[in-house]
Amino acid sequence: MARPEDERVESAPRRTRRRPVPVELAAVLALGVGAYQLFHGIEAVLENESSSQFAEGAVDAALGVLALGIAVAIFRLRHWGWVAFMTWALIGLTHQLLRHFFYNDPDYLSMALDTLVVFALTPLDVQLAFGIRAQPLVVLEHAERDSGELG
Amino acid sequence: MQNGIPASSADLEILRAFEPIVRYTKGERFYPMDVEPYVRASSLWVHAPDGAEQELVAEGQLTLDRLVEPRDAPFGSIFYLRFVHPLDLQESARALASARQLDKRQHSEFRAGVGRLTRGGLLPRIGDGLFSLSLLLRGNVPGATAAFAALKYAKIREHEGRLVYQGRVVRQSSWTICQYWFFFAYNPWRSGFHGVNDHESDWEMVTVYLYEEDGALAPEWVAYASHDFHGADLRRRWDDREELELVDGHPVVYAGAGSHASYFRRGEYQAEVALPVPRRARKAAEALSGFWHTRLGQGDAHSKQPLRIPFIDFARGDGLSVGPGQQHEWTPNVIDDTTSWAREYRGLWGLYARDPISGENAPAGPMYERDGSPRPSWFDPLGFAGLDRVPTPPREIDALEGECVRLESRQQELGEAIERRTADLQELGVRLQSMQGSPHLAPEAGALETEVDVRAAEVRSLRRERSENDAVLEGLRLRIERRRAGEVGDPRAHIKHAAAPVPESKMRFDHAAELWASISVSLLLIGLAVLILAAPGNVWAETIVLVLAFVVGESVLRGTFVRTVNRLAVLAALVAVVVLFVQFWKLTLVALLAALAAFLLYQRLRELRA
Repeated sequence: MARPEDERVESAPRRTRRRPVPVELAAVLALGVGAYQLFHGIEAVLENESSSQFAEGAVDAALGVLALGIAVAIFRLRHWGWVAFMTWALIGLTHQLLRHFFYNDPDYLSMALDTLVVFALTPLDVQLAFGIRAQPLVVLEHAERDSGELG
Repeated sequence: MQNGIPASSADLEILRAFEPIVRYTKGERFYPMDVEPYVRASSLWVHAPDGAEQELVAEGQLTLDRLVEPRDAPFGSIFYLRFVHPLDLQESARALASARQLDKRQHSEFRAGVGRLTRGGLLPRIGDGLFSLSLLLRGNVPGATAAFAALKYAKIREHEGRLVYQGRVVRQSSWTICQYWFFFAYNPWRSGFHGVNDHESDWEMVTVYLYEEDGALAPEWVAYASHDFHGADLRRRWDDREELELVDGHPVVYAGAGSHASYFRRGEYQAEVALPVPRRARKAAEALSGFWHTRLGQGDAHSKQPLRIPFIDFARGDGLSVGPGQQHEWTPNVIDDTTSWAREYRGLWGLYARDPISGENAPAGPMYERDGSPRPSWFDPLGFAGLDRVPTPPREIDALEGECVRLESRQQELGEAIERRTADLQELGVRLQSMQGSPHLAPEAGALETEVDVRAAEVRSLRRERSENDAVLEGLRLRIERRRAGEVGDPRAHIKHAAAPVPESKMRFDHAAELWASISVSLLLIGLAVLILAAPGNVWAETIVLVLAFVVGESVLRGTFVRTVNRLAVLAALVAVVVLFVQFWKLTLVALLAALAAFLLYQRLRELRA
């Protein structure tokens, strides 16, 4: 697919890249979430009381493995790790907010954790470290270029 | 000096020496014409304040002389011409079909190119839909009018093939100003090129500013009229090769397709039109947008107008080229303040469409605005391009030196005044000191202290002025030195905002994105309708999920997935913060107080240890 602009921005060279504190926090969160999901999933699979519980457990375990993978990617400042964890947080937040507003069945702990993840991954230095955004350029031109004009 | 012609030349010769070359976009249907055949083919109407329309002179009977006949009308009346009479359904269908055939015959069909709909994103596209709907409520030029106007104009061109500009030469403050006014029978930007508006008749203008040196006139600036830019931003210096294209000493203009707007560079320009929403709603949206950009660091900081609809003005220059040495040459028609059709007819030059925001109403003539007030570009052509404060190059050094002399004299005055006032101040200071230790002089000392403060402030102000003048003088002397050395400085130093064509990489999307852009808004609306019918119980939750899915899907096609996910996540996180605070405000307050206490304790303990 032809894309008008490549979203991936060249991140800093690996040796000089430093891991911002919020990144470590986000990675620990991913690790915690992954470990919890994996443990919960394996437990459900081992209990094996019904086929639906088995399937639910398997999905949980798979999600746990994914979260652990994301945690490693976050630790290693991988671009895809940031994208995956932000998407995860968006899905989680949407789910919890819908539960809060329309179904009266929210999980506030999940909501708080996802919120924390979003705010940990959003600052400019974090996005720069992951190569999500480019370093803002110092504008030397005197003229501010504007968009077009109307006839 | 460059491209000079004798200063004693007649106005027509001066106009011809610097007349622009205008390059139009393929698909353009209307070109600059003489006003006379247009008026002959139009009827004259008046719109009364009570809304009544009355035909004053029928089509075929109107001439330039009859146009300017004095006519009485109550306050609030609007005189206007009608190039196209009201069309019935049959005439409309016939006009549309014939205009299409005409385009085919002339091989001038316009192709927007893939990506026009995709450029704005889903929300601006919804805005675009609302804007189109607003045309039903606002007055607008009927759809087939453009087609009928094109056929009528084509007929006029068969008999009267000349491409005409109305040229005017005016002399102000040592500048000789050449104005080239271009009159078009119709502006089909909306109907022909997916733009903002259509209106009968159109006026565009290019101005060349000349100065006299050694008995010859030379060009220094050129300004292209624009709705979105004002003052100095309109003009480019004659030697600015990056911005201004010249062919044999003639400036090149790239005209927007349908809009006829003038651009310095070839390309496609993205224009943004604010949605017609109430002022308070717009202010609130701007405040939210500011918070989003500056506080949360989201989106493009320069995009300040959130309620906007993007439109493209295609100034490709791949169509007809008119001007000296081109496929078609100009026929000039010299006008001035005494030209009766320009001076005496204050009405609109085309249909009054009753559009309250005026986009679809025809413009007035070159001397007047739509409301009949004088047009600044006519009565103040220097101020129009911010040149009222700029001397001609030969007078610049004199002006600089004059300013230097004035400032040096002021500096001398200031030096003397500062010396004198400082001496006075010191005398007062000594007197004040002598009062110290004498309690019975307390009231006098208080009054004196106030006076000393006032005088000290005056001296401080004089010293500041002298210091500022020093800096200004330094700048003036440097400028004189550079001018004498032949340096002319940065040709774009005066520009604050300039239109730039959108880069190709941001304009072209693939066919899948274009297809999606064409159908997405309708699909979304159908989806909502289905949800309301199929699952009325959870319609809000499902609507949110549906809209989110559309937005994310759109972002994948547009290649903006990461940015979109981040923006949506930040938005959701902000809502979650509010929800969590409302649910757990006591706990949050306790946590905040505990954190504050811990922080203060840490600070104090560190201080204690130190």
